[in-house]
Amino acid sequence: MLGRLPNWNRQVGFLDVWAQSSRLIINAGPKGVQCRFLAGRGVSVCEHKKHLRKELFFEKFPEVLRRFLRNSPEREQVLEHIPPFANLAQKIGKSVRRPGAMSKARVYTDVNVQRPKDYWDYEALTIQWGDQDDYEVVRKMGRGKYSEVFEGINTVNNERCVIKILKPVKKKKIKREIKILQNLCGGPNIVKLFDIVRDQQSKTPSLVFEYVNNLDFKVLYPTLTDYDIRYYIHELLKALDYCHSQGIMHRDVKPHNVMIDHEQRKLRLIDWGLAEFYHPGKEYNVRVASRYFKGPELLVDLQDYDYALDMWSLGCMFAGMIFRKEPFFYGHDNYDQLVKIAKVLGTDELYAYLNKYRLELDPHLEALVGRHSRKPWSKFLNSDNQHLVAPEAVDFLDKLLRYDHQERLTAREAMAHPYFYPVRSMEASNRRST
Amino acid sequence: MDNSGITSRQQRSSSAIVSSSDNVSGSSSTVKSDTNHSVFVNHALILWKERRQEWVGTRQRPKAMEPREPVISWSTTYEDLLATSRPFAQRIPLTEMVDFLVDVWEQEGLYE
Repeated sequence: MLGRLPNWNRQVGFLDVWAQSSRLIINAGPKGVQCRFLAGRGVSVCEHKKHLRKELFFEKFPEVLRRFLRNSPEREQVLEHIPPFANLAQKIGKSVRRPGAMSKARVYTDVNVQRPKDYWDYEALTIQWGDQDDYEVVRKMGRGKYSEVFEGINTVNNERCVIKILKPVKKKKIKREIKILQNLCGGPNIVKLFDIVRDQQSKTPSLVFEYVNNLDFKVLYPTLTDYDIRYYIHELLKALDYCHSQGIMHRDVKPHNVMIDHEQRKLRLIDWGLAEFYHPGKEYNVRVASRYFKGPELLVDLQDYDYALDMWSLGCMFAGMIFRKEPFFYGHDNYDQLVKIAKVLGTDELYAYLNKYRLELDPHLEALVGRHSRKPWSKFLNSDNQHLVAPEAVDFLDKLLRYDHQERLTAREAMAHPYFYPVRSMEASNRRST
Repeated sequence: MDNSGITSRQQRSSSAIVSSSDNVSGSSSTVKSDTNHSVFVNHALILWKERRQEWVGTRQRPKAMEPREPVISWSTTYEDLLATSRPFAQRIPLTEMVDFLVDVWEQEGLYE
């Protein structure tokens, strides 16, 4: 069977195998192989993702496939036509952009133009490394693409902290994260970077942060009240408006990067590893943010995007919270992500957006997107979530989830939305009483 | 209630924001010439350096670095140690954890 795979000998290609309700997706590229196994009926109940080294993968793949087929004994034939053994990733090209419709941020456009070079020129940063021997780790907290994260102790003062040990990446990326965290120091709800240390031998850097007693969002969010959601989204907006006002876009807003200590009602926006300085007119990499939170600009290759990207991601997160549907746009890959968005926001609106910025989708992607009418937000209402979905909430969401990044509310405008009246009046009365 | 955001902003508005954020908000800036680069002072960076100094504290150097028994045994695998987020049996020096991870990453081919 493996011999029938196109490009098998060249070790690149895309394979999508279905058997019963299970699906195995393999995407082999020059950099490595991604293997996804989706089991369940329609919706994936189990998703196993692994990035394997190429040689290892081609050694192990036959066994994986055998196991996959063994576990789906009812129908052993592999359906070659859903979709055909085709290199989908190669088939869909980038969108084409005709000149004359550049985009710029509506607010905080010139922050970095007005500030001196050493504010934003992170590559010129020289790092003063601290002493690694002052720290111990207590437990693992998480694992990311670029790091392993631990709860730690500063042995000098016995204080708790979070230690992020960085995997080998370009020095430039490390400098960018550090520079941005330094520039945002003191900002509301921005995670505090305490120290930067490095291993003498391997040169592995570790970043030391304040400790936040976070509860996993999958556990916390379903327990939040209508007011809680308003409160935390408002807190998150303070962090976003602040970083935008300092000329910085976060580019990876999602629940995993929002730490909430619910007992103290404390929120911190973390993981600034993808954050970037905004320079008007600059073309950025669209491979940022996590799939479910990627804005349309990223999915249609509009590279001169801006702070408004964060507002889309926030909108996705907010929609997930009020409708209790996480993630709200559940795409199986970046192309499917655009399809999932189009099925809610409609395709007429998508094409209006593309026209405005003179973008043309690759015909294959266009075919994939198809034609869909805009869905009313009320379609997502059910008995489980109706207590969270006030009319103001829907109005607020509607003003965030716009294809056109220039139409979305800015963080500052968002904070002034009537949805947050109760939060703001509570803040005002707290100020009066203190 | 979290008021750390509020206090830090108050701190800033008394010092940092005076020069920086007024320029940012644009239209009604007080200094508006190409030379206003010289006006900008990175108060956030100054604050960061102060706080780091505080956090690192005054340690008694050099502290006697006796060669300690390693906490992680040589046969421990990534799964053994890091499959869950339960606390370790005993605290592990950061240096030792970094050594351990570097070995794992080498095996994964991250240094190629």
